[in-house]
Amino acid sequence: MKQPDDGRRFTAIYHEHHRQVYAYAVSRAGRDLADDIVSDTFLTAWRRLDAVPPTPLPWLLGVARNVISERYRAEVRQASIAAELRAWAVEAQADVADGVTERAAMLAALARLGEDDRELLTLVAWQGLGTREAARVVGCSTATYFVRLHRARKRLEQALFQAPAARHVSRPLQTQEHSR
Amino acid sequence: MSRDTMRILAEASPRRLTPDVPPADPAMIMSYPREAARAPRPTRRLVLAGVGLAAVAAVTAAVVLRQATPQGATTAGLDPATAADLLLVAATRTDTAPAGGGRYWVVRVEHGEQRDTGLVRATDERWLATKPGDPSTGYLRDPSGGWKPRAVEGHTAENNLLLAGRPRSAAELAALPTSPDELKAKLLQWYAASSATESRDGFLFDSGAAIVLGLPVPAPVRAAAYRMLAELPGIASLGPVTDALGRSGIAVAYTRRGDGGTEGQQRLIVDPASGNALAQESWTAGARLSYTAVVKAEWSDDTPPDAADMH
Repeated sequence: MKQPDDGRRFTAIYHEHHRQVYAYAVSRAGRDLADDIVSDTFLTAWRRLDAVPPTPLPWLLGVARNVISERYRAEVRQASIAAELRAWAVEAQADVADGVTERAAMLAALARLGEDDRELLTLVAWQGLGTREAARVVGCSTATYFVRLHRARKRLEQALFQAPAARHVSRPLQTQEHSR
Repeated sequence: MSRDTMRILAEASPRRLTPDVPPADPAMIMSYPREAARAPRPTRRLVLAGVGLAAVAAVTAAVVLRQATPQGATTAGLDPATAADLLLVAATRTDTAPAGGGRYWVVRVEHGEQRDTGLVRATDERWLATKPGDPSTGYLRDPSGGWKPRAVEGHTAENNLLLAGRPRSAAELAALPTSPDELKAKLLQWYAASSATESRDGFLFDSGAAIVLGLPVPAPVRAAAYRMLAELPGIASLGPVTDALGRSGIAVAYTRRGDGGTEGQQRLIVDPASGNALAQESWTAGARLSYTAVVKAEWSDDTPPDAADMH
């Protein structure tokens, strides 16, 4: 009897990875769309259970990625992710009130990056994937991912570095720090 | 510096990446067939992107209630009519409904979804513009009973209304056929053009239910949808039931069986006295896993109200 086993395997995969697929969906398309993306992703996993590898997460995130790009028109997704990034800023503002500014600065810098860079960075930093697994999600070679991740990290550091300067255009950041 | 950047980034992960409510029961997903030629979507078809349950869960997470045994068909001592009889009665009642129209289609619905910890409920009201240039807007009821505005970004008069898997304009819905056969043909045309979906009859049941439940169609189109549903094979009457809001009606159901043997059932609850559809519910293994109950659905020429003025 294969079917009860399938049901058990699917239920185990679902409970183990639901949160990670949800987190990916939120970071790519915003909370408003995340529940539906997660449903679609696990429905695909149920229908193609034989194709789900022993380490399911990269495969699941790859499916979620396709669901997002195929199912939602660009403007709907853009509106949703824009609202999501604003919500992160609001959350981080609460931190600033508590004196935790590093996190707020990091999320602000991340919001200034392009979508592709954000995905490359968060697959590793938030989903905890290695470059090899992350490469499988976006469909490129590990070497290519490594190079792209390196560039994305540089851009993130630039965005972080430029953030305070943008508010004090007349004063370069170093001068500002020396003068303290 | 670089390694440090990745560490700081990892620690900056927003709390919004974690869902506010536990995941839905996977039995819902397993109630879908494995080998369908097309992929069905176990999503709330009446809920537009941007105003879904997920969106409101954050606001209403506090309202997580334990639900006792899910309510099923009650025995009110009535001899249940066949599903076709009920749907034809509803069609006749709808025939005499007044013609409507207006700037906004106003829909207030309660959504409920069974999670591991209990039933999560949320109520929203949407003011969906039917004329280009008018902004659509939405509101959420928070746990204290007050209302908060909720932007419905990306919504216009051209894409406000979801039917048969795609956004439709009010004009498109108003132009739907008023004969059951032609309506069915039109829906099947959309079925053929859609990438996602389920069995043909399941698609027709969901589309027909969506039309009678919460979409701004002229009364003759709604009556045609009831008559189309009455002719669908495999629709059973479940007799008198009570919906999630405690209202009495009669349920008709379309049941599909997943390959694991799990059955999934879509129920449409209709008030036979008025011909109004009250709710759509999703049942699996004897339990109500989710529902959408329509509190009101009506036309308005007013300007969308301030959230503070709503009750």
